[in-house]
Amino acid sequence: MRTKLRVFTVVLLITLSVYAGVVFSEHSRNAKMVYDDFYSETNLADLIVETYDIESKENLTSSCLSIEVVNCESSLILNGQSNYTFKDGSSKWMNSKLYGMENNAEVNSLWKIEGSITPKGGEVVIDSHFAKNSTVGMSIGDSIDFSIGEGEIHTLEIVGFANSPLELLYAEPGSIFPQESAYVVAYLDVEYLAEISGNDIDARNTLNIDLEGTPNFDFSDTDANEGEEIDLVRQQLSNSLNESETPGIVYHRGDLTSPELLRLDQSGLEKGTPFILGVLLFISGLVIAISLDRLIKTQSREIAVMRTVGASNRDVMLGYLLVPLFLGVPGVIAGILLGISPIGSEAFTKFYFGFLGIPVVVTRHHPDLLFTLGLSALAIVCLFGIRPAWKAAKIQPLEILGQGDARTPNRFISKITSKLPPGIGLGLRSTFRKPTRLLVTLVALSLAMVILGGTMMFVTGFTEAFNESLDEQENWEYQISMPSSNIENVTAWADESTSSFELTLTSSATISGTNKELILKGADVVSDQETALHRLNMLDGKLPKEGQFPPEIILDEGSSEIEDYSVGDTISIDYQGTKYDLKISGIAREISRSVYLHRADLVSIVGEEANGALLVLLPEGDIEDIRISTSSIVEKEIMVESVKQIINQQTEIMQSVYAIGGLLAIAILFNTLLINLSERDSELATLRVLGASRSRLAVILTVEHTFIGLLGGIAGALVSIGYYTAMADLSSTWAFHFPVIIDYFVILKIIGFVLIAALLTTPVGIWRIGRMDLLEVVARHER
Amino acid sequence: MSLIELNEISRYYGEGDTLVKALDGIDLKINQGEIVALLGPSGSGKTTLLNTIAALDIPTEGTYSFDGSEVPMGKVEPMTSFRRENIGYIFQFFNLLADLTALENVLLVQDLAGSRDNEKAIQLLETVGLKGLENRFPSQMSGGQRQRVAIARSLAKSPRLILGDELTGNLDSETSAIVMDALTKTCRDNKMTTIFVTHDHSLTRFATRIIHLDSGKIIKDESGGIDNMITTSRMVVEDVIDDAIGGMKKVASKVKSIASSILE
Repeated sequence: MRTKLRVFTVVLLITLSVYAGVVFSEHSRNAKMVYDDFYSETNLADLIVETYDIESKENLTSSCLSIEVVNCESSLILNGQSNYTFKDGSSKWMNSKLYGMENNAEVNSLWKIEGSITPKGGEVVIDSHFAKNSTVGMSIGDSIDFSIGEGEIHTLEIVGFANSPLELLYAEPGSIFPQESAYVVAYLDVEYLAEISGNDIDARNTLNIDLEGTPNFDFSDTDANEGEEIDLVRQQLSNSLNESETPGIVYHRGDLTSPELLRLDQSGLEKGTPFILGVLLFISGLVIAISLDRLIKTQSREIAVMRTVGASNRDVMLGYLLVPLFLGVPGVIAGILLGISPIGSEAFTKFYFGFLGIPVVVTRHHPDLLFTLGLSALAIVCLFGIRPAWKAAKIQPLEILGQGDARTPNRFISKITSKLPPGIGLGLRSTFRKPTRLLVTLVALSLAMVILGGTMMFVTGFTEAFNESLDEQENWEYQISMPSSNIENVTAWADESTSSFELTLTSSATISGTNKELILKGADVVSDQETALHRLNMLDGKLPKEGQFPPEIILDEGSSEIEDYSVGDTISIDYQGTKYDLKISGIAREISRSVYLHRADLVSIVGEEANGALLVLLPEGDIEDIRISTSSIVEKEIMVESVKQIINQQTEIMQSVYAIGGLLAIAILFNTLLINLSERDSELATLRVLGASRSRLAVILTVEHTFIGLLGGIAGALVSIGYYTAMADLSSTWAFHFPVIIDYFVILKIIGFVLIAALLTTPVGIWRIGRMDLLEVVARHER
Repeated sequence: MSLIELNEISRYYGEGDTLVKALDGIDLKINQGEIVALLGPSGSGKTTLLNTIAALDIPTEGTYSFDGSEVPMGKVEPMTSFRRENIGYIFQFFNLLADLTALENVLLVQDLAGSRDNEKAIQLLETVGLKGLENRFPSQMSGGQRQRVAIARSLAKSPRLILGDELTGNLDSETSAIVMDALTKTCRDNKMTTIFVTHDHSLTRFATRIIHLDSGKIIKDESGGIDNMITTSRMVVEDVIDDAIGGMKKVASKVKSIASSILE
């Protein structure tokens, strides 16, 4: 029974490891196929130009003459607001991005989901992320209202649903969280959009350029510059834009939020999969080594007899080398079958992309991956079987047949437990009876806890960072953005309708000599006090003084870590072609790469008074009264709610990872503690013969398991912290920086989990003791 | 009144053609303070009888009373309590707990009985000749020393009955005598009843009563004491003479072979 349970545990571990390996590896490859196919079908631009101002189509496209292109198309991209009546009858204004596209555009073209993707005047195609969201209930033929810039409200007919390569990650500008039901991306005819936004029909602000082939571009997660070639083209184009007096920023694929974040995600998966797979197989190998070691110990007398009658080292070793193979083959086969089953990799890929709202073009199984994975798994488990098999081969008959147990307990442990009652002392000392096994168990357990605890810490740290920066630091009710020409309107309205109001000025610049974008945020109140509409979470330094030269700023933690800036340093930025120096007076934790400074200081750089505001409404105030004067309105409650929903969804996805890690940890503990128990059969039987009640033995086992649980829990927590810190560091990019936030409650949860898992073995031990045939065990010992 | 009273105790294993009668209708009374040796060939049922008295084995038939009360057979925990309260058990292979020192092994049994007495534990080790070795682990002791720790452990809670299964079976004859002497002396001094299984006739000299078993039945129940001791001594002397003759034959054969090699 006991052996069967141990064999089952080992095979289960191998099955789980291979299953997880198949799911992650195939998903990683399928994800790459999904992105590659999608970008290839929709022809994602190699370079995109965004001009600072609206330009004419002719001026803009003339810049392409300076470089060799396959396609150079212009478009108009504007922000606005839209209003749609949801299926539950409610309607609301939502921030929107409107793409004005040339007829038959070949670069950044749309991927049709339903209806038409070539809208005419009065028609619109809606991004399917929003259209197909379960709460929206949009149909072809419905109408939707748009307000763009200072123009009036336009009602358009919905003629189709589509996806765009630029909006695969469906998040508002500046956010990385998909917001499917609160953000609308719409695709219109470019001339019609120009017309309804109050511009000339040839107004454009974007160039979509397709170069020959797919040139390499610089990856944000590496130090090397992989895109030197495209940088030259970019520089040429930039010069040409300046010469034609249509200045703007030239982006390559690595600068575009959606493609780059999805690439990072896929690349993280690709890099992380071998690590996770290695950890899983290493754990299986360790557990096999422990189990095999025990098997050899149990069979040492038989081995000794075999050796006595003439079995060679080779005969014995070969026999035990085959054991991992016998355990490994069914585990590997079961793992692969599970991996390609309906609950395997394809289901995971579909679920994953369903969550992101990305159409899955094709997924398939990869026999080469399955073969490599299966073979690697078998190789690793066999590798871990070599040492025990070698030990078996080295067994000398006289050592086994001629002697009793000559084990002396660890002196140090004996000394520190000498004052305890013998029963308790026995529990503690037996924990250290096999230090190698204890160490191997702790290593395996720690690795399993990397998966459970490390991921838990990562998710918790991530959640806390967002809660802090999106909720706790923000004391405004609405955040609006508006053309600077509307400041007076908005201010006059605010006097009557708000209890707190503060004008803001937001713009973006790049760190000099790089493409790394910094958001410049000018506020009237730059404060770390709870009363501030935006409270800075200061980590170092002090708040900036107004009117200093160079202007004093607060830099976000991520920028300071990635670019190695400290308090007192000066940072140079490029703002629309002009270089400015800023002095860092403090570092604060912020979600985006940003600079905070007094609005008056930013005015001298941007040349505008304000382009937004933070406010809290009076009870009688109505935000709709001012909507026409704004270009976007963010309601904090909705923003926080939607982010929390995303985080909850993420956490739900992580449950499967938690489950795998948890199962592994339990299986490891279970295996070792069962082995410990079986080794102590004779000891426990002796105690029973001497009159120890089951409750007394339960106390002894509980002490032992508590101790192992605590040791394992602490080891698991420490390794989880290490893993989390390393992962946060490795995953941090310019687009998104993961701060390291250690939550002590999570540490307690990790220790508690291992402790409980260890203690759960105690009833099994007690149950076994209850069923123990004392005469048989004592007789076996005496034999 | 007898301390132990067995009536028609039988213990069968298997069934039909494979039925083995390990004990076959045993009637036995043992009084307080008796030192009983159970003798018999292999398979005679002596260990089964000892295990039945220890409430480790459950008889197929018959009743077992201890000090006038029926021993609860069949229920694991009451049987354990019975052992804890009344019995000190000595194993052939000592079964000391390797992680505990000699003293801790003795203290553990006191703890189980809820009567920890450090001084008494030390005193017991001294009684069995282990003064100064209290803090040694079993692995640091000889076989005889280990068995004496086991004896001290069995006496630790002052049980009314001491049981030993081939308790010197793993020791040489000189050490066996020392161990048995230590055990029987302590039991006599404390009026403890002792039953031990042995196949070594020479050890019967330590018993006040000798029970011979064969095929699960008592075939002879004789008193120990001086007559028995004489009989036993005669057997011992015969064994010694046999050994001596055997030894001399070996020496003669050796001398013969040496002499012939010299002559060659």
